[in-house]
Amino acid sequence: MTITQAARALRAGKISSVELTEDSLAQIQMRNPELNAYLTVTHSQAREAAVRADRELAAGNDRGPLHGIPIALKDVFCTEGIRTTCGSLLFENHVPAYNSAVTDCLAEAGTVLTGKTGLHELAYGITSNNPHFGTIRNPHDPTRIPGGSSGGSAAAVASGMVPAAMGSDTGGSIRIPASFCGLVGLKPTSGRVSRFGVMPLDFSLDHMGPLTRTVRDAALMLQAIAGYDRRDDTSSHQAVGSYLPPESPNIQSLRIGRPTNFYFDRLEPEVRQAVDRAFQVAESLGAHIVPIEVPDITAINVVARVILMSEAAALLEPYLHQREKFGPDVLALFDQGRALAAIDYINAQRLRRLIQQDYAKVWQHIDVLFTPTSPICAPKIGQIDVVIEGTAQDVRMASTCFVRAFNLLGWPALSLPLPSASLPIGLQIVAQPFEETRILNVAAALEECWPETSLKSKAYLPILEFS
Amino acid sequence: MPTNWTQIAEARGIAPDDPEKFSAVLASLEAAFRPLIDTIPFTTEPAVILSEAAVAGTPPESL
Repeated sequence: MTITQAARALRAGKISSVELTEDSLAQIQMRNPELNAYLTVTHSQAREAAVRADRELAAGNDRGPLHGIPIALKDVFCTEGIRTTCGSLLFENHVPAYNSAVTDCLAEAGTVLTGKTGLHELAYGITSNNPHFGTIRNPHDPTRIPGGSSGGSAAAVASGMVPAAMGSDTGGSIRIPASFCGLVGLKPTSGRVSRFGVMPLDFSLDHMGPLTRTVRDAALMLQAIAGYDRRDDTSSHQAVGSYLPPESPNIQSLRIGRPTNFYFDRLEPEVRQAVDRAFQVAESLGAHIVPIEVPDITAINVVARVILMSEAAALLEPYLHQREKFGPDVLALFDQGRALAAIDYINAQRLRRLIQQDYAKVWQHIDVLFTPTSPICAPKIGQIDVVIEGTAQDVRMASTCFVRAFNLLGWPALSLPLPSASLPIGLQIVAQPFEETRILNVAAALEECWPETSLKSKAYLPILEFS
Repeated sequence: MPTNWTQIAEARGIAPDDPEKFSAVLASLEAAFRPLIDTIPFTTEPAVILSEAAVAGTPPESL
């Protein structure tokens, strides 16, 4: 069930928040032993919150469309009195004394927190194969990774444990799992959603956003968490938009950029076919497809990696004497980051400014940019390399190569699930800063052409059904 | 001249578990990154800002 469906059923008196929550907890009990999506399940708090939501709704105190809806938070969002591990042994028993801004926003909206989801260690990787808390599995094929680092959130939503979960994205960590698990994943503009109380990986690349089954649900989640927060230095004063797409979203005459370089050079055949089809559908809806050459993405990815490795190493420097508490892949990244020079980091930040000026020129010609979210579908657990059109590539590099640039740029980007005969495939939709409304409109228009992509998935086994 | 990453690691007290991979990753990153530095105009400033709160000495509530 989606948020939209559940909210409607709640207000029609067909179901209560308690029933929704019990359904969610039952799904977790049934599927979590295999998928390992949750690190912590907050049974009693969830039941109390559901009772409270039902009481408030019965009394006419309606907090909006998220009221009474079960959700989950990636285990980087601080939750007062509830363990928040960041997927690391360093924080294995860390119980925050306060909530993150997002935690508070979602509580204020009346959601029911069912628990904290697993992730790649310290959110620093894309497999979610966590050496300390176990491997997280893809609900579409449990022999495959869900993507990461927000792999637990994606697995929880894709399997029907909850209709929505929050993720964080430093180099694709919302969009990659969304793509691999057949979900909508939205990385908002830098500064749109407060980072306060989120355990950081990187000071200038981290973004917070939702993973949901539908575009409308992503819009509802963003509406609840967007806005200025004085506690976050990078928080924006830009007015919050009205994100929910109209009933019949219109993309007539919209200029959609199709990159002529990089993004279509090497793709798995199924990905190419699905993304080509998305362009055709958009064109049939009246949009104009504009071929466009984008700046050198390979260079952008290199700059982003220098910044990420430097900032993450700086952040974790005080903990690096506890080497036994790190997994091998994350420890290797921190060691590499420590070897970089300060001038490399500063020059990477100077290059970032040039890249932002250069890339911004694309908006003179287009309104949104479409790219594949990833050149590949979900790899097998433990797979190190992937062969794309005859060329072997590191799974981590291949997975992040299309998404990382938009963390560096700070632009909003959404991964939309595309119809696929086999494993899920994502389309990345990018727009100018603070144009989340436009992205969500475009995504909703396309989604209407293949409704309920993720709901038809074999990964999703709903217990409760409503007419 | 390419950097000797093994010497850098030793000088900074870094003991990577896989020294060969450590050097290979950084050498590859350096090969791609160094040419970009030559393209930076002299007056280009980093894309990081000193926030008003930082200037005022008012720390945001933090972790």
